This record gives sequence, C-alpha cells and structure tokens, in this order.
Amino acid sequence: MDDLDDMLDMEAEMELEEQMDLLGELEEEEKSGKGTSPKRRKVGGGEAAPASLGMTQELEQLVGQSVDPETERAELTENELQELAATQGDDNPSDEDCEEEEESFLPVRYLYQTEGRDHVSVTLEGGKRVYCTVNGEQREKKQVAGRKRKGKTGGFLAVPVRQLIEQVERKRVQKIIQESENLSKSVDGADLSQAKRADVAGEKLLVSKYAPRRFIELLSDEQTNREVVRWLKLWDHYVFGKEQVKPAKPKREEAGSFLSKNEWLKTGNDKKKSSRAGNAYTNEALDKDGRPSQKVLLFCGPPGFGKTTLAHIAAKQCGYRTVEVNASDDRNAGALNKKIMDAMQMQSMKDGRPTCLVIDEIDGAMGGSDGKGAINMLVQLINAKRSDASTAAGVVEGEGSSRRKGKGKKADILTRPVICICNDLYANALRPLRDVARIFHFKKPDSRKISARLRRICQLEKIEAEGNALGILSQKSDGDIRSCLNTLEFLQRQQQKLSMSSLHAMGIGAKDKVDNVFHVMESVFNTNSKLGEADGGPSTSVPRASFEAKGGASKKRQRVTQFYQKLMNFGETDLLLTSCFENLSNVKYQDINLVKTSQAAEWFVFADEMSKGISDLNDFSLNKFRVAAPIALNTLASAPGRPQLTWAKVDGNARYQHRVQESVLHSWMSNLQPAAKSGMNTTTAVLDVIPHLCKSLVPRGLRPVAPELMRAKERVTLKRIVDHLVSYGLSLKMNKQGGDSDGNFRMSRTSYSLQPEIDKFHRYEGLPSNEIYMNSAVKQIITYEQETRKIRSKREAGVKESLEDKVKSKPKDSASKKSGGEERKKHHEHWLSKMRTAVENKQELRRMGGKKGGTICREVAYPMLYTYHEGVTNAVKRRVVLKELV
Amino acid sequence: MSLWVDKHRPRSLDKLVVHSRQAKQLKKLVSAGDCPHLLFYGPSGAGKKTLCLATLRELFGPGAEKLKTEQKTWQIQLPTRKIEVELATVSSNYHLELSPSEAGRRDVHVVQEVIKEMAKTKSSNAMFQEQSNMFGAAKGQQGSQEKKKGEAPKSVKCTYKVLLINEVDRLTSHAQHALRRTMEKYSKQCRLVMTCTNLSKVIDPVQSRCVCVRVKAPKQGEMKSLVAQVAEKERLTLPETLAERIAEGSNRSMRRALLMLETCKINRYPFEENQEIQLPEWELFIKEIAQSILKEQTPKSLFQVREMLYKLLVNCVPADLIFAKLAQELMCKLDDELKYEIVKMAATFEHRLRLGTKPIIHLEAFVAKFMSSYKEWSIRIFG
Repeated sequence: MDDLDDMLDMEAEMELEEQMDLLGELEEEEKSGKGTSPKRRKVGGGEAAPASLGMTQELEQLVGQSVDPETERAELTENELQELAATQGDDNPSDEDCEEEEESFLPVRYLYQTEGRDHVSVTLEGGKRVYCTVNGEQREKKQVAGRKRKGKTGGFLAVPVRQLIEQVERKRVQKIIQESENLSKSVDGADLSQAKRADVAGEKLLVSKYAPRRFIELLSDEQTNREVVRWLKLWDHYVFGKEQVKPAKPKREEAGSFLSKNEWLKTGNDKKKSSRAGNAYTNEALDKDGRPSQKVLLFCGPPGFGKTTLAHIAAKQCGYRTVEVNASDDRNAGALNKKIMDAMQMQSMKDGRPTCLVIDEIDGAMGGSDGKGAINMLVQLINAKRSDASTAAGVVEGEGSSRRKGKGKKADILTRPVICICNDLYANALRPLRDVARIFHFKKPDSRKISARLRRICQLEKIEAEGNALGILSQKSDGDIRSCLNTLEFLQRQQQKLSMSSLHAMGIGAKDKVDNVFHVMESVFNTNSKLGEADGGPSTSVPRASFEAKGGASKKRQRVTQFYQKLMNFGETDLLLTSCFENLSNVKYQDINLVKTSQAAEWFVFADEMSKGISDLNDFSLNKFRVAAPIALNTLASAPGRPQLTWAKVDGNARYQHRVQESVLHSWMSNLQPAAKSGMNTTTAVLDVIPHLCKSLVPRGLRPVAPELMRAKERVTLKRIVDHLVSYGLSLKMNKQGGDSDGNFRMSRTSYSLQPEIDKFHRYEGLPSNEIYMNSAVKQIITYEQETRKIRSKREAGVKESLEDKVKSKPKDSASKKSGGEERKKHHEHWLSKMRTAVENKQELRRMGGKKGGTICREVAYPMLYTYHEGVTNAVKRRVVLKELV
Repeated sequence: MSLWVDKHRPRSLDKLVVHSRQAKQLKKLVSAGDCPHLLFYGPSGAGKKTLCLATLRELFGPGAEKLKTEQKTWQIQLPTRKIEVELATVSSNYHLELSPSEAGRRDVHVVQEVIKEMAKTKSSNAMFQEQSNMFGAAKGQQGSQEKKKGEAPKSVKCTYKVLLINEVDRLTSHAQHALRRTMEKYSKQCRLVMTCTNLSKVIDPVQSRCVCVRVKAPKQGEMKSLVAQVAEKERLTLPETLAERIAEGSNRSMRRALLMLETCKINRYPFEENQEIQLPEWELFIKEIAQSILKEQTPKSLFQVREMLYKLLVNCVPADLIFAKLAQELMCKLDDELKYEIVKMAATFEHRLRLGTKPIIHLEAFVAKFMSSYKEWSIRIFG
C-alpha cells in the first residue's frame, strides 16, 4: 500500500513539475509576444506560480476527464519520463515550496486540516485561500522511488501528460491569436481604440465608453473650450511657476484681509509676470499673487452638452489632476471646505500633478441652508486674499469659516483652480457665486458634429443605422449627446437597428424638454401645422402625414395621436390653456353663428373641470383629458397662416387685482365695529352695503361754513357723514389726479376717495363715476369733525379700559370669598392681597377725582357702577369683615 | 351711529316684526336654558343673522351684545408644515362668530382648531355656575342677581359657549365633514349656530345634527310695512308708492330695502313719489353687459363682454350671482322660445362652474352659447 501511495505521489509530482515549466514558458512567450514555440525551457517555478495555479485548475479538469480507474494506466514513454526526472533534479530549493504546494494536490481549506505540519498559504485566483502542507523528507523518498520505477510503469493517466500539456498549449495559442486579431481590428478605430479595450475589460455604458479623452475629441463649442484652457493656463504661473507656492508649507502664508472684488481688480493690474497670458484679455490679468482675477469658472448649460467632460479634459490638458465633487457627495460648508483644502494642499502621489477641483451640479443639491453655506464659504475663499508680507500676520477679518482650519494663524486662499458646473445659472443659491465667477454659457453643440460622432460610434459598435436616422436623433435630443448615446445603447441592447420608423414611432430619443408655449399655440391655431414638423424639427425629412383629407380616417387618427403626444410632452397644460383662451380672439377663423366659438368655450369649460379634479383629488392622470381641449380647438378654431399671439396676462392680471380687492375688503371688514361687522359678510358687503355706504358719504348741500353757522339740516348731514366715516373706519383721501379735468364748473371741487379704498368696488367703466366731489373747505370741516370724534372716543375708551383693568381682578375675589373653609385657607394670601389692592385702587380713584375736579370724578365713577351692574361680579358691594375670612 | 340697517336691527326675539313665528318658537326652544345646534337658512337679507343674534341674547342676556372684533391667528401644525390662518372674529364672553369660508381651502383647519379651542376654554358663565353650585351661599346670590338682571334669568344655566358660523354653505366639503364629528364630540362645551343661504350645499349629516330654521324672505307686504316702520322711527314721511317701489326693488331683501331707503333719503328729502331708486353699480353693469350681448353677436363682442365680466369678478361679485342676474336681464328682452333655453344654459354652466375653478371660462361659455343660439334664432326669424 505504501508503495502504491508513493508511486501516486511521485506521479503527480512529476506531472505538476512538467506543467509548471510549461506554463512558465507560455507565460513568457505571451509577454514577449513572440507567439508560441514547442520548445521547452526551464523557468523558475516561483515566478510562474500565480499564473500556473490558474492553469493547474484547467489541467486538473483535463486530468479529471482522462483519469480512469487505477488499472487503466497510460503509458509514458521512457524518454519523456527521463526528461522529466532530469528537470526535476535541477530544481533549486526555493522552488520546492511551490512544488510542494502542487504536490500535496489537495490543498485544504482550513488551517487545522494541515494537522500541524509545515504549510504554505496560497490565495487562489478566485480569492479563495488554501493551505498546502509541506513535507520534505517524504519528497526525497518519493523521488528515489520514482526513479526506480520510471522504467516499469507509465502513468495513471489515460492520456500521456505531454499530450495533455500540448492540448493546453494549443488552446492557449489559439486564444492569443484571436485576441491579437481583435486588437488589430480595433486599432482601426484610431483614437477610440482605448474604448474598445475598456469594453473587453467589462461592460461599460456607451456614454462613458466613448466619452472624449482628449481635447480635440471634444464636441462642445471650440471657442468655449479654448477659453477654458486659457483660463486654466493663467493659473500656470501660480501653480507651476518658478516661485511655485508650496502648499505643503502653509505657515508661510500670510493672513489675508478681505477685499472686495473691485479692490482686487484694481490692484490686479500687476502684469509684470503675466507674459504667459500675454494674449489673454486684459481683464484676465493676474492679481498680486499671480492668480487669475476671476478665480472660479462657472459652466452653465442644459444637461448633456459636455460641461463635465470639458472640465475634466481641460484640467487634464493643463496638467491637473481632477477631483470631482458632485451631487452624490456630502456638500455642506464644512465638507466642501475640507475637499478644497485637500485639493489645494495635496498632490497626487503617483504623478505629482496638482489638483483641480470640479464641483459638479452646484445648483441642484446645493439648495437649502447647507448648500448656501457651502457657496458662501466658496465665495469667501475666492475673495480671501493674501496680503503683503509686511502686514501683520494673524489678523483675519471676519472670515470665520475660512479661518477654521488654520488655528487662526493663516487665512486660506484659493491656490488651485476650481470649476463649478450648473444647469440653472439663476438658481438662488448661486447668486453670490455669479458675481465673482467667470461664467461660460454652453451652447448647443453642432448637430452635424454630433451625428458624425454618432456614426463613428455606430460603426465601432456595429449598430445599424439608417441613413439620416442619426441626424434626426441628434436633432431630437436637442444637442444632448448623452441622451443620444443612451438611445443608441438602448437599441443595441434590444438588438435593434436604428431606423426612421423606430425613431419616430417609439418616441425614443425625444427629450423631455421645455417647448415654447408660443410654438405649441401656433400649432394649435394653425390649420396647416404638420405633426412631423412639430415633432422632429423643421429640417427633418420624416415622412409626414399629409392631412389634406385624402389620408382618410387612419391618417387623421395618427395625426391626432401625434398632436396629443406633443401636447402631453409640453407639460405646462395650465399655461397652454390660459394662453389659448386669451388668444382665441386673435385667431381669424370662420364662424358665422358662433357655433364654433361656443363649442370651443365649452371645451375650455371641460378642461377647467378637469383642472379642478386635478387640484382637488391630486389626481394628475386627469391631465390627459385636459389636453383634449387644445386638440379640439385645432379642429374648431384654427386658421391658415400665422396668428398674432400674445403672452397671456389678462387672466393673471385679473386674478392679481381680485386678490388686491379681496385683501382691501378683508382688512376693512376686520377693523369694523363688531355690530356693523356681524351684520354683513363679504358678499353682502360688496353687493349691498358698500355701494350705499359710499353714496351716503356724498356731502349734498353742505356749505363750506363753520359748523356753528350751519343750518339744522346741514348739521344733520355733517353728523351723518362723520358718523359713517368713524363707525366704518373710513377716511377721505384726495385723489391725485383730482376731478379738475371733468369740467370747468367743477374747478373748485376736488375728488376724494375713501381710505381703505372700498369705493373701488362700485366703480365700473362706462358707468357714471362715483367719486366724491366736494369743496376742500367742506372736506376740512369733515376731517376736523372726524378727528375730534376720534379723540373723544379714544379718551372714552381709555378711561373705560383702565377701569376695566381694575375691575377685572374682582370676580376671582368674589368666588374665593364664597368658597368653603379649606378653599379659603388655600387662597388666603392670594385674595387678601388682591382685596387690598382693590381697596387701594378705589381710594386712589377717589383721591384723583377730588383733585381734578368733579366732572372727571363723575365720569370715572359712573363706569364703575356700570361694570358692576353688568353682572360680572357683585363682590364689591358686599361688606366683608376681616374676621369672617380668617 | 351706523347705517339704518344696523341701527334698526331688532335686538331681542320679542321685538322681531317679520319672523315673529320663528321668534316665538325659538324663544320656547331656548327657554329651558339649553339649545340644540341651530342652522338658519334663507336668502340674503331675510333676517337670519338678526334671528341668530336675538337668540343668543335670549340665551345669555345682554352680555352677548358686548362684542369685540379680533383678528385671530391660528397656527396649525400639519404633518408636513406649519400654516397660519388669520381670521377676523367677533366675539363676546359667550360666543364667537366667524366666517371660516374666508380662509378658503384652509377652512378645515379653522373649523377643527377653533372648536377644539373653544371646548378647551370654558365660558366664564360655566365657571361661575360651577362655583355657585359648590356653595350653598350661591343661591341667594343668584336670586339677587336675577332680580337685577331681570331680562336673562336663565343665563346662568348655559354652561357652553356658542360658535356662530357664517356661510356654512360656502365651506368646502372637507370642512363640513370635519364639522360633523366635532359637533358631536364637543357638544357639551360648544353649540353651533350656523347660517347659510343654500341649504342644499350643506351636507346631510350636518343638517341632521341641527335644528334647521328656515328664514324665508319677507313678503312684499311685510317689506313695505318694515320700510314704513323704519321711516317712522326716523321721523320721516314716506309716501306709500315709494315704499312700495322700494319693497319691489329690494328684491325682498330687508338689508337692501333699508339701505335703499337711506340712500333715497340722502338724495332727496322730503321724498317724492316718483323718486329714483338707485341700484348698486354692479347691477347696472350687468345690465350693460346684457345690452352689449344682445346688440352684437360676434367673436369680437364676445371678447369685449369677457373684459367686462373680468371687471365684475375683480370686484368680488360672486360668479353665480352674475349668472343669475345676467340670465334675468337677458330674459327680459327675449322671446318666449328662448327663455326656456337660456335658463337651462345658465343653470348648466353655473353647475359646471361648481365643478370647475375659473369663473371666467364658464361665464364666457355661457355667453358664447347664448350668443350662438340667439343669432341662430334671429336669423331664422328675421332672415
């Protein structure tokens, strides 16, 4: 049995050794790229170990197939075995371990399975870790035994080891050949070959796969690209220049005092070192520190225009390493500050390039207080300026956040370029940044350029594309390269080709974009509006449905469907409906009996009902029915030619005015006296009360004489007017334009309106105006009376109030007075003190009355009695003896 | 001193002239010192509010007439955010009056919040009563108080506050549903007295929880005698015919009648029999709209009418009233054949306005439809 074991061991050992050598060879051949040669060379086993381990598995499989029950043994020729033995002898000790690993053949998964023997841990290809035991003595024995036996027996394998090895070899070679063929194919793809290789490595989205990698590959506007690079080059002086600032020594940095942008623009005229930026604009002059005067770039533009790509590539072109902060990162002030600091103070270990910070999507997730803080921090950092060396260090003026890191010793200044990217330049949060940053508006890339690039990609990816389909796609996406590529990718995955029909029917590639309301309205009101045009833009050669009746029902249906789609895509149905409603009068359509108009009006009614449903039930699916109204309008009230369309503002204006009026009404009513107020509600106020009230304020037959000289009738009128003015909280206010223009006979009179302006409610154009005309002298009399009345009532109210305050405290007293014994003790202190104050108050009142004369005393005394009668309390009247209470 | 409407408003149930039968019933109802939830309904100017206030006075005594206005703000915590609702209220020690419909779509919160708040704070009356119940001495007190008060011997018995809600029919259905629960839950501490013009817009559950009191518009004769009475109180000599005309022109609304009377008096006194009664401007304006509708039926005139309608809406004239008035005005000048049609149209579009949001659209649809059928009709008749 021992013998057999030994033999097996031996056999396996030999095989493995063989493999190792072979594989090492192969490996080297692969590396040198020479192709393969059958010649075997001796290669250090250790070197090849990792690769061979992988191969071992492969071999194992082969072996497993060929190994049959022990009896069936394959014959190895003697020569071969001799050779094998010879190679074995040459093994150096360092290789032994590795051989041993293979030798043990069944590597164990767990350490305890090695049973305490020497072992070597090996990590397999799949990341699995195994332990192989080592046994030197046994090995020697086996070697001997093996040599003895080699003449007698072949191996255990059905197929000789060499054949197996050859098989593996052949496979390997074929693979390599194939790969090299692939490579040579993809080399044709010139600059995009890299992308191809990336594809081999793993699945990648087309967007990232074919993202431009070099400056010349950029699709965005040339001019913008160049200016961005020029700006980045301006930093060269500061970042790479001779007197390169070493951020690693921040101690040298002096405290920077805050200077406004204008100031450092002024001081930034120091151009002696700006020779590098010689051809730059004058306003791009460097500031004192040698940095560009505008230290931050702000890219803005719709998605997919290549903003991020440009930022990365331009930075790379100028020798920076980019660090991107995008919406997925935490971006509060602290986190951003840390990022910027890291970027400014560190360099890449790999290539020593300085960093350029790219803050992506700065508008989106930067909202909220956090985002605002972050942007303010950034702006502060931009504005921070290193002051001259002579100024005292350590003084920072109010830059809390920027000082935070520097132990108050240094102010951080921006030492590396920062590029911010946003979609919406006018987002609120960006306001501070807009003032200090250099802004680039991204224009729509040339659609021809896009379609050329798309064609190239289609070639490489083997996506079939019909003739002009790519052009349409690029137009449809409105310059959004990303969406184009995504569409292509979608088609590729679906194994479809890009054809006109698929583009058109599936609505793919159509971007969710904001259409102009005028454009949509035009198509609503224009009889000839063609749907192909509406969808794909004017220059496309989409086979359009002709609507001239010959198409029949199906054509019509198609047309309506497409139109519907377009309206749904427009999204702002509310705006569209109001605009259509207001512009209906501008369309010159044939309508004799107003049948069409009334039908159109009913469609608006229908749409309005749906709006109510949407707002009440929050059910936005109803929106699809609202869209029916414009479609109906198109059939009812469209006319050939281009209608004169205006921006809808009548409705908005009316609503605004309505709100104003309502607020006037509410404020007036809330200040009314309670009796008057409870007698009416807003509706009745408008409909009945206000018109009559305003009429009752007209001073008819009132002469401009002193009240004392008035006739009885006049006095009544005056009293009435003043009464109404006071009790309804109104006052007269002279109109600015006056009533002079009305006629000569009114020259002496001026028109007045009421304040609050409730008289507006009964003023309609075309009706006799209801302004109140009166002589200014009369007005004076009225105002005077009103004022005196006010003062009087105020005084009365004041007296009353002060008395009420004093009386107020009494109900409690009365209550506690009547309460039982326990209660009494509890409140003892409390009510007693109150009683005392009450008594004091009383005395004081009496004293005051005595001092100031009888009338006031009486005035004061009366309300006192009155409050008592009111029934709130009868405590005062009862005589209380202290004994009773204690 | 205020307008005659307010000045001559009867204060107590006994003094009511017009709805004396209802007044008597109400008096009986509250004589026990308790009252159910009340819902007064009837057209504008019929005297709902007067009845309400008189009932309150009957319940609480003259204390209920000591009113104060207050701009109240409620801070309401919603699950997602906090909102503030501001409303003008009129209140006394015993009741609180408000029109939650002014809060628009937030009226739900107002209704819930205010009732809960009221339920939390007991009326001073209730406190007083509790205390007086506690101690035997209270009895004598009460007796003396009763004597002094004279008019309101039952006031002490009410331990609840009253919430007076105006224009319940204008509440959103959400608010009305909110009302129905709170009405029951807090009925011990708080009674509701509500007014509305259109009972059908109040949901049934709310109706069934109330004693509904119909306050119908006074008859022509009643109006006339009312006007005469007020004139007498003001020591005016009012010619019979003018009184009649005022009663006619007032559209059976007491408020309007009295306001008209006052305006007439201001315009000319001593009265003349054929004195002009001034209509409010918005009515004149609607008349003008009706005229321009009948004058020309083209898209152009339709859009002119639209402008005019906008003006009415801006000035807070309710759209349903415009519908009614406009239809009325148009009807005066129409052939019988069309009369039926226009009423149907106006009703249809007014109904659809309920289902919609923007009044102008519905008004215009009505006008357009009318113009279209009127034109068709006139072509058919006159060729």
